[in-house]
Parts: sequence; structure tokens; C-alpha cells
Amino acid sequence: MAVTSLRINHQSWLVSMLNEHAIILQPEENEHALEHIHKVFKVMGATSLNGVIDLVPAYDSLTIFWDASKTNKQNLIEQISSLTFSTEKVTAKTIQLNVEYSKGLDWVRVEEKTGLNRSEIIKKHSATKYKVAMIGFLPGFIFLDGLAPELAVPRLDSPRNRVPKGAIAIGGSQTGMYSLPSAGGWNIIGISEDRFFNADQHPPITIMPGDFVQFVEVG
Amino acid sequence: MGQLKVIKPGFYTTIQDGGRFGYKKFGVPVSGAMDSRAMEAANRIVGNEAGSAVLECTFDGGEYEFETKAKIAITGAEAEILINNKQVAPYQALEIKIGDRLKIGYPKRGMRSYLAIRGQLVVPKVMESYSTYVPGAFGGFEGRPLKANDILRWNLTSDKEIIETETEFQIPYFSSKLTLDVCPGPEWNWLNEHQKQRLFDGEYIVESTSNRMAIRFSGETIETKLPDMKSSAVAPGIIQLPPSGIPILLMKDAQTIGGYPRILHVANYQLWRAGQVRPGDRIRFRIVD
Repeated sequence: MAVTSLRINHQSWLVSMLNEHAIILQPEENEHALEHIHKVFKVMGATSLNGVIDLVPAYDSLTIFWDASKTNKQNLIEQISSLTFSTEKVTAKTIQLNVEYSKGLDWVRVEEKTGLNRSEIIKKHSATKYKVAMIGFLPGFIFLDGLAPELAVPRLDSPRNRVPKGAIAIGGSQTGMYSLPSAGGWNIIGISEDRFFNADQHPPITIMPGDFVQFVEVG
Repeated sequence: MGQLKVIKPGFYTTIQDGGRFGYKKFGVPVSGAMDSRAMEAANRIVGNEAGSAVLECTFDGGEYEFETKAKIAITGAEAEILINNKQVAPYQALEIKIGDRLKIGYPKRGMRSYLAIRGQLVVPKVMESYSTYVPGAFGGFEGRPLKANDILRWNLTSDKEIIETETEFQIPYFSSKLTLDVCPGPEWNWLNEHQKQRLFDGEYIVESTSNRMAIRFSGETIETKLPDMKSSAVAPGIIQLPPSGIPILLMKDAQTIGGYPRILHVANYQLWRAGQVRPGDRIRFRIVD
């Protein structure tokens, strides 16, 4: 697998192929990977690169899908290399989400695994301003970065068949939100009635990777 | 406006088109026809744009009563097609009269039949596509497979908009033994030569748990101790190797991000064929580069 590298915004990125019409970019320096990825994601999103049909930011990668009838790898890499970046800090918004922690389904387990009581956990969980690391694997599933290490709880031994929509959950050292009902193995500590994914709206979700989320206890 | 009524919905019939692009960053899968080639053929035969919305029937295709006249075509799996109990040919334009009943049978070979109707199906466009994504309950007909008594409507294309119809198609033969051409994926070189060889020596049997999200197999396991990887983008056609050691082939409704090593991907020119494999089929992988 031919891996080349590329310089974007004075950073060196590794380039590899996902398939015939998608490349994966990974910052060579791992330390602030997510920050670099979000910055490039944002600039690419605003630039409307010719032929690009999808961008998927993740923890240590940004994948770019293109329409093979409109562009090719070579042309795309040229377009990416000539992107211009301002020195300004990327603006990110903070979204407050109301959470009914009393509706959590796994409190017994979460208290046991963390050794903390419910109110201590809620206090810590809602004190952090979390960064939206990425959205996916399912529509509107939001992965948040910044969970306090003492709140880490291993995933359930066997996943639930149905996690209710709006569930706020802890999976290992991550916290996140289920926008749609789905199967899932994270520990549910609350439910939000705020709807953050709506297929009939454009865009379907107002939270973007790179934004911040703050939980507010209600109910 | 054309109209039909669903008499029997078949096993799993949904509206699909060329796919939903531009929404992966929100976690939205591409969806779209599993056998894109059959969808395109059906559309071209009736004079629609190749990526127009069609009915995708899985296994038994169901029964439909036309309440208006229509021009239709059925492509894809090798299934018996009956109009008013008289057998008709696939990959051909069929003129339907008011009151005609269409029945698409259980396929002898292949798995999915496609029904295109000349015109534009009247369903809401969701995120720029008509494709149904059932797990998210959006797209297509109310975000779900068709049910008995559903009424499906379409706008007739004006004569001026009619695209030249095509009539010459090579009808594929869907053998139960198939070799899929695959290319190295991003984590291919995480495997050693022995593990790679084992994958190509092995024959994989398609499991009945396969669906529009992924084709699952049984077969020889490839024991690996691969490093943990951070979740990263996946796409239809990607073959993952989870710790169980049995590959998984992701398909059109696949998640947008995955955490298992992406060892291979099915060559783009053969992905449509994977959309027709059925439980019990025997699959081998052959590397092309």
C-alpha cells in the first residue's frame, strides 16, 4: 500500500487509500491530532473542493471521498495542498444540552465501577465542556472528548438491543450521545429530550465536529 | 400521476436510488441500491435517469396492482415475473394496463430484484436522496419497507424529458460460487504473509445474518493479534477483520466509522455483484492490484 505524505497548513500528513475513491489523511504528529483534523475539516468544508462528496473526521484521521467522474487522487491532492489557512483560531460554538440524569439505566453499574455516588458523578459529568470529536458510526451519534478519567466505565458485557434516542452514555473513557434508537453497549446515565438530529432538517444536525457540548442537569 | 397498490409487500422491499452523499460527517450512511448495476439497467430500460428511485426487493418480491397504466422494467435476481399470472421477461420494457397485477417471485439465483417505473416516484427527498435507511427510519416510503395496502405514486415524465431507452443488456448469471476481486485496504499490511495466504485459501460461506449493512460469513478463522486502532472512516465494499478472525464485508447501509482493521476492499467494479450474494453462497477472495 503506497503511503505518501502531504503538507497542509505547515503540518505533515500521511496519505493512504481507503478505496479507489477515498483517501485517508493522518497528522504525522499525534499530540494535537484532533485539533489539526478539525481545522482542516472546517477549511475544506468551507472551500467546496471540486469533486469532493464526503468528509469524515475521526480521532486520528480525516477521510475524503470524491466523485470519480469529477476528479481524481492527483487533482485532489493538488487542491488540498493549495488550501489557505488563516492564523486565526477556528471558531467553535458551545451547545448546552438538558439531561435528565434520573432516567439513566445503568446507575448501579456506573456507581460500582467508578466508586463514586450518583450526585458526584453527575456533578463531574456536567462540569466539563466536551469537544465533539466525531459524529458517526450511526446518524447523529456524537463522540465527545474530555471525559474525566475517574468516570471511565467499561462497556456492557453484551450490548443492549435498544438504546433509547437521546441517551447520554459512557463507553470506556469516552462519553457520547445516541441521536437515534439503536443497539449499543455504552452505559446510559441520562436521557436528553433535546433533539439534535432531524433527518428532515438541513443540515440534519446543528452540532459539528470541533464544537463543544455542555450538559445541564434537569428534572 | 401514476399509482399502484401493494397487495403483498414481499420479504423486504424498499425504495432505493443511487445513494445519499455528503452526509457521512453526520454519521449518515450512503444507502442506495445494493446491486447498483441492476438498478441502473432498470432505469435505463424505462427511460429514467440511471440513479432514479426504484423498488429494491429482497428475496420474494411481492405483488402489486396497478391503478393506472405504466411502463416498467424488472432486473437483478433471477426471479419469475408474472403479469396477470402470465410469465414475462426481465430486462425489458413492459407496458402495464390499468388493473394489471404484477408478481415478482422468489429468486432462483441472486437475491435482489429491481422494479423501475417510468417517471419519478412521489416520496420526500431526505438529505438529497430517496433511498430508505430503515435503521434510522428515514428516506423512501415513510422510512420503512413497504406493507400491504401501501399506495405508491409517481409523476409521469413529460415526453420532452424522456431519455433514449436502452434495450441491450448483458443479463448476469448469479452462481452460488463466486470469486470477488479485492484490493489492499489501509490495514492490509498489519497481516503477515501466513495470515494473508490463509484468507485467500479460505472459502467463506455467506451467513443468513447478512443484510444491507454487511455481509457476514462463516469459515476458517484468521487468528491475529492486531493492535487496537482508533475508529476511522469505512465505506461500502470495505472488508474488516474483527478479533473473531472472520472477515465482514460492509455494504450500502454500513456505519460511517468503524474500529476494526480494514484489511481489504472489494474492487469498485464488482461491488454490485456482492449485493446479490445470498445465504449459503461460497465466496473466495482474489487480490488484484
